[in-house]
Amino acid sequence: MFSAMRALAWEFLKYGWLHLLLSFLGGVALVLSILMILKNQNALVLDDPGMIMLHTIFLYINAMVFASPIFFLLGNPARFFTIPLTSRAIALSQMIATFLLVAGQIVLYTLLTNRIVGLDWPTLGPAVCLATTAVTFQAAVYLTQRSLWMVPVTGILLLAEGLWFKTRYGDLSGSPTHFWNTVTPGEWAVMIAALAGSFVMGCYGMALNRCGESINTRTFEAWVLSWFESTPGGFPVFANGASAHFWFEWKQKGWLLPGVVLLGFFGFTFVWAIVDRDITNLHYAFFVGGYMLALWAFISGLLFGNYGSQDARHEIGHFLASRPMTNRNMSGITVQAALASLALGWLFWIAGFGALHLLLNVLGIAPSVKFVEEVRWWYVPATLVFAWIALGIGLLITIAGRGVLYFQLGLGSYIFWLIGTVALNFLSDPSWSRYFNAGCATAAGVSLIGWTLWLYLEARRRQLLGSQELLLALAAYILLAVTVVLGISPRMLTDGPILILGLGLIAMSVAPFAGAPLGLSWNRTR
Amino acid sequence: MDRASESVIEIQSLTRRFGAKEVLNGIDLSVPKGGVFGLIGGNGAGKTTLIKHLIGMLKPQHGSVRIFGKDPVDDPVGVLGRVGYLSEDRDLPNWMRVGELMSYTSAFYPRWDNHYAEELRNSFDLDRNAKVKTLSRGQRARAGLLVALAHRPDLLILDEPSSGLDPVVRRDILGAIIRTIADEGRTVLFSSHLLDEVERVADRIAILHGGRIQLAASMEEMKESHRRVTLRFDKAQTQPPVVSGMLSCEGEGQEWTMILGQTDNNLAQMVAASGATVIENESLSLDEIFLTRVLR
Amino acid sequence: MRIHISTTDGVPIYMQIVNQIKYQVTSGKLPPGAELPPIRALAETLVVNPNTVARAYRELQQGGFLENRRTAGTFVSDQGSPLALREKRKILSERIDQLLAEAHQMNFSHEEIQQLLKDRYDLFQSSQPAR
Repeated sequence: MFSAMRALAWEFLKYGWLHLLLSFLGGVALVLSILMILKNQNALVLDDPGMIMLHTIFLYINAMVFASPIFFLLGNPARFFTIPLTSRAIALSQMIATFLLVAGQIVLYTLLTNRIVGLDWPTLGPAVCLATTAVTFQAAVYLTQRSLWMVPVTGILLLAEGLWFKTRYGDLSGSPTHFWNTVTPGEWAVMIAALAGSFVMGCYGMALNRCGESINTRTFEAWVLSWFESTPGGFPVFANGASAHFWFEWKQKGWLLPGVVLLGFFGFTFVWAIVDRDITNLHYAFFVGGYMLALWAFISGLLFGNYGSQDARHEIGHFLASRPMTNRNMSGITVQAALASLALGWLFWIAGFGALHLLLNVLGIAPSVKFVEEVRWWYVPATLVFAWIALGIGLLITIAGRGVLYFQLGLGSYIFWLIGTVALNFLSDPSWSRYFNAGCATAAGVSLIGWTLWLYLEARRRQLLGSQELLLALAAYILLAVTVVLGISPRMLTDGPILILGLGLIAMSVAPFAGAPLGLSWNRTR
Repeated sequence: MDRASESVIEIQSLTRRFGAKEVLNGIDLSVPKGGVFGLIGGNGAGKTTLIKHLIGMLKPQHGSVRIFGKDPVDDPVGVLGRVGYLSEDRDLPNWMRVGELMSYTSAFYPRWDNHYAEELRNSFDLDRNAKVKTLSRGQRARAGLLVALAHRPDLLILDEPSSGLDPVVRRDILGAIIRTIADEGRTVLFSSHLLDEVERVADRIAILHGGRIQLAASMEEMKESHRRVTLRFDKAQTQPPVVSGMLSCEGEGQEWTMILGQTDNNLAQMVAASGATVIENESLSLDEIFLTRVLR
Repeated sequence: MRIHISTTDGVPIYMQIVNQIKYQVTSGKLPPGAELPPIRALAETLVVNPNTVARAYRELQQGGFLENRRTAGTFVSDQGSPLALREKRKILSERIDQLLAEAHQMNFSHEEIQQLLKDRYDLFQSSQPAR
């Protein structure tokens, strides 16, 4: 069995060593960026509960960022099923690989950040615990892969282990109080038991997979799925190509944002019901959740701009490329569908949060202190604007069908900034870091404004846009910029680089109207 | 206006490189209206690249492409509204049901014939409620063919329509091609490396090889001009005999077999002069013609 | 009417259709006055280009085997006998030519060929039921 294991290990490492290295560096880079910013602002207080929470959150993120490519690289175990290898060997080799890589990576990451930033964060406990969590996730996937149970089962197991991890640092609810510096025998016992249980579950799941079976709950699944199916027999009738294509975009991509908002409400409420009972916290969480909309809007934008035929392909597929429709029309419909989807998602959020807010008023409960301190009149519309900007950026990235290029550009800029910041960190004079950040912010703002301008001029030249639309966009931009800068944050006027960056980001709210038809024509005709 | 010389597709000096590799090198092609045009070539010869230019997915780096006299890149509605297209990978939205696919596609083409679409759906045995991603390869090809045919396009473009399909589906596809051109004035262009099928249905052929059109002619001309001739000489020949328009020649001693590529050749004179006898004079299958032309 | 198209032996498709219809007419399988399928239908059945079928029909009409009655369709012509006989002789002559060429290749003399023919004919006669 060992030479076979060695062969599997060699295959995995040879294929994936670069991916693993890059994702490791990526995880470290992310953490370092944030820590560096804090250090520059002298906000790095070692024993602060906020610091401890940051440490745990970083570990979660790091484990996820590193574990995802591992799972992807391990690939579908089905490719081993025709080799004379026991299911147990396959499952164990994959799970042991995951454990060693995640644990080793966390140790390395912690040592590195400790050294660079000057911290003293614990290594052993988190490494073993999170590695075990990754293995549990993997084993659960093997077991429930082909059934509907995958999401609930993996979700519950991850939640359980994640919460246990949190309790190593303090109480279940509330802020953490100490670092997990020593691992007690009781804790070792729990982790080893969880690991052993995961191994057993994984081997069993792999054996089931090999026979093509999974946990058998067919009828239940069919019942649940029937809820999501539209009634067959009733097929839509369209007046013209435009309404047909709108339906196409909406049905395929429009459900994401509203769906996420609804799911978010349920998720938040569920977790709140377990860990906390103070309804004002839920109220605050719902409110802040409005800003999470921006993240999902970005993802939704990536989706809307994707004209590719399968998930992995970025280029436009033959079916859509051969639609008798102009680029201006088709991209316009995509933008409309994106707007509609965002509007619906945002309205769901308003409704949900509004209902809770109303409930609090009716019950006579005062909202939490944090809420009262932070809320401003423009927070609610701001969620919409942020989300739209994020959606627009996502849309522009994928609609040109050259995701790799944009990704490289973005990554390159980010790495440049990170290297600069870390390097300057070792200099004695902190003002250099500030100048560097200011310079980067200004450059970013100027390039965003310049790009938007170029998009409009080029789209106008290619007659993908009318003069009226150009003037309308300009007016909208000026209005929004003036509102944001003067009405909301006069402070921005004094800080030059931030002002420019802000103006650049505001430009992204009008950029899609020119960028979409241009991007699509760049995608459709090469 | 001379209807017979009206061409549906007009390609001039089309050149295309991908990086350092030149895939199409000065292609000149004219597809006349009405009839089946077969574009043949090996894997990777550039057939799909050429077809992508017709759909507007590629812009000519050099040269021009006109369909119905229009540029497919500038006027997608004018061109694509009259074209039915089935790509090699049978690209269809996986999440749609067959019925939804038909509804969606019908909205783009004013000439969509619901009756005809239903007839096709029945004869192809496609379930309205089936999701496209659950269809087998053959069913998927049929679904793609259905939406390409149902609006009675003036030009039907099929990229490797039969590849990877069983004989039953292939028959459906060939049948669809035949029925399309049986209607007056409609044209079919299809690319294939399954030459026995091309031989059955094509009126005109173009051989694409090495980035160039090696030969473009009607099927009749091709079959008449390519012949395999076996000669028997009285005396053993040390050198292979030479006839004008000869594509290849092999043999030894007194017996030599040659393949001729044009009707205008000096075979008769050569035979009279050398006193050889013609033992065999056969026509070639399209497969053999292609191989001879390409392997020279 | 059963026609089989083969694309491997190099014979043009229209020629294969012509030959097979000719054979069926001369052998009596397609009697005079019998109706042939319309061009489009035969093209769909055989899965060949309608122009090919049209060309075959044209040649057969020119050869006098078929006649085209405008509104009714295409039919086997009644002129039959002298044409059929000529065609039959042509078919057999081709086969005999092939035989002679092969026999010559194998260096059979004229007498040997004739003797072989007579022997085979006697064998053939004895195996035939009384006419």
